[in-house]
Amino acid sequence: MSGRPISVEPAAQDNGLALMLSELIGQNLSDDPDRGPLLERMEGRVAVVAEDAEVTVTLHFSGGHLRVEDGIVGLPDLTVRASTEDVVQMSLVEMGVLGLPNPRGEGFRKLLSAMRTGRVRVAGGLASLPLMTRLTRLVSVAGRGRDTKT
Amino acid sequence: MAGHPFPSAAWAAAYKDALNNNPDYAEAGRDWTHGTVAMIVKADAALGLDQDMAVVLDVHAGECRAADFVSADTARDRANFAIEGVYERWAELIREGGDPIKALMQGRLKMTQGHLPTIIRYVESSKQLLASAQRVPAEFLVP
Repeated sequence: MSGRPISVEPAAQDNGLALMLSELIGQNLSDDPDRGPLLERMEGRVAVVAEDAEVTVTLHFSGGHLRVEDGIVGLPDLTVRASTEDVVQMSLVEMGVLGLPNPRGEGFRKLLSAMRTGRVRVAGGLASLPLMTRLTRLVSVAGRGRDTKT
Repeated sequence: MAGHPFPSAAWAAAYKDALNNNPDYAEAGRDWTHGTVAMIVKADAALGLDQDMAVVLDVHAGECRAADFVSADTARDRANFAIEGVYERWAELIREGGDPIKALMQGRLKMTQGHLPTIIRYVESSKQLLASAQRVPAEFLVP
């Protein structure tokens, strides 16, 4: 394992979703170091399937490190199936108290609606709920923005 | 009406007008204050594109203040955000429409410069950037 908290497996280098999620999480950790301990507490595999784009990644959290892999690798603890648009929506969920999604936020309500109508489907045991909550917090970009060359 | 060759200075100028005549872009991009966006087209000798070229959009608060056709090196130096792809991918997207974020997820385009979380927050704005590009009469290069 490298010293970097996130690595993208060579086979995933042409997987745009893999590159986006690794960049998004890396940037969020860099912008908000308070999220660092989240990664430390995450253990398990999350498969994300962007169905309309026909791309799949596995996010493998282990020992404070995230390895991003192409396709489904190993047995995922959670599998999220959604459209491209709803995968993006997952990162627009506003976070509230105790690091939980803000139920009053527009992003959360949109995601909930997508789950109710079956546009977003999450498969996994209840024991994986903390993993899902932490992942949501890790990818959330709601309410933030930044200039990059000023 | 004859189209403007894509990419070219004429296409870029027409793109600027298309953006400024798109009320949906004005609305979706009204909070965008994060700087310039470059669309970089990779070189393709078969098409006569000898070097990477780009259109740099100076977009601010729902308005396109300038759209310049420049070399990719200049674009990388000037732009806050850069999206790169081969000619065929850009041509497909502009001709057929679609979702630029989906194109990024599929690896058809790559974001090579800029702050991805910011782009994600402006997903509707990026869709309207593409929708505006579709309104520009264009001629696409063929081998």
